[in-house]
Amino acid sequence: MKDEQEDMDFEKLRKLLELKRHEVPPPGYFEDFSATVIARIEAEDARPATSWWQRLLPGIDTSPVMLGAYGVIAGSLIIAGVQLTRPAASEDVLQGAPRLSSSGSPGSIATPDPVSPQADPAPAILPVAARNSDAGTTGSEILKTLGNEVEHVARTAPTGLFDPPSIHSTSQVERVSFPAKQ
Amino acid sequence: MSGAAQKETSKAAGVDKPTEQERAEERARTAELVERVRKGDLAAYDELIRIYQERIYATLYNMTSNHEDAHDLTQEAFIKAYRSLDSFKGQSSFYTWIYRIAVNRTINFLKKRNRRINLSLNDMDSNVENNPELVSLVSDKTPRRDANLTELQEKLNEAMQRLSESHRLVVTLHDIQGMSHEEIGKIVKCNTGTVRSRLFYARQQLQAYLSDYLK
Repeated sequence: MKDEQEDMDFEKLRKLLELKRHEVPPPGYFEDFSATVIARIEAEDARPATSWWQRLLPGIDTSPVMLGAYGVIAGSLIIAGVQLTRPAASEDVLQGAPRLSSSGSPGSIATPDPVSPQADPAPAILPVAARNSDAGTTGSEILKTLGNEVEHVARTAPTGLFDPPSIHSTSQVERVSFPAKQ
Repeated sequence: MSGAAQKETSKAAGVDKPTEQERAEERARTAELVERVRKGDLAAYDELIRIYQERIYATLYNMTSNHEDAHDLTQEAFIKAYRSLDSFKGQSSFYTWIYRIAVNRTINFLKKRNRRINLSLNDMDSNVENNPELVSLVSDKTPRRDANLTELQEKLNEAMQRLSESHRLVVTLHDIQGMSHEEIGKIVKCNTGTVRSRLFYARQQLQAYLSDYLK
């Protein structure tokens, strides 16, 4: 009912559009049509398979958009590659730092890497706290252990390492003077 | 016009309305042919092309208003359908599926072609001279009595090309091809309400463009 009403509103237009039904291709037009389609399918099947880069090149030649797309993909791959290699590089740097030996007694310090003898031994203290906090020990126990560690390091350190004259000499501090404001 | 001639004309335009029994027979025959094509039988595909070629061509011709473009797009649609046959699961009819391929390719083509309209129209068949309603449209009732059928054909196609692709498609499928709203909804994958609304809007626009011929 609704369709009929809509059709009535556009009755003349519908009759005019019917004119297009009479626009037909010349007689015999479809006689060879299916044969042409089949021939094209067979020709495509017979064509040797091309490699992926051979299919890529015509796209670059004919379409600047394709070229831009390939550029973006290549750039993304390079950035992703750099991002992936960066953490590995930082791990390599950390390997130079001394660490607690896994076989030694608790609190013992591993021998520093002979390749980098200048490595600062101070970071070795941090894993002690971390290890004890995992074991459920109290804060005072951690401090006690840390104290023992410091005492041990101080005992075995070269003479004068923790007693630099510059720290205890107040005369150097007194000698510092700031320029007066104009 | 004789009954046979009328049948031939409507068949060429793709507007013959088959009975339910004919539809069921066509579906069964198509399903059988599709199975044979899947097994590599190109002769079966040749038969499938013959069943749908005129209807697909007519739709694409009315979408493009260009005979050569419609010819190429119809061929490409059948080739694409052959290559994609593995993805046809039979959830819709083959008829709907291949129409969808053809229509989508044509809409993409028209978007690339942009607004460059290059009409290449088919001649009208001789039956149009025997259609009194159409003859009266250009001889008696319009203010432009000097208009002949060819001029009207060109104006009609120009007006069609001024519609958006989606509106032109709905007018083509409904008012020219004679499809129902439901069939169009399946092809363009939208509900019948959307089809109706697009059809109404497209007809309004056409009526405005062709007002000289509709008074």
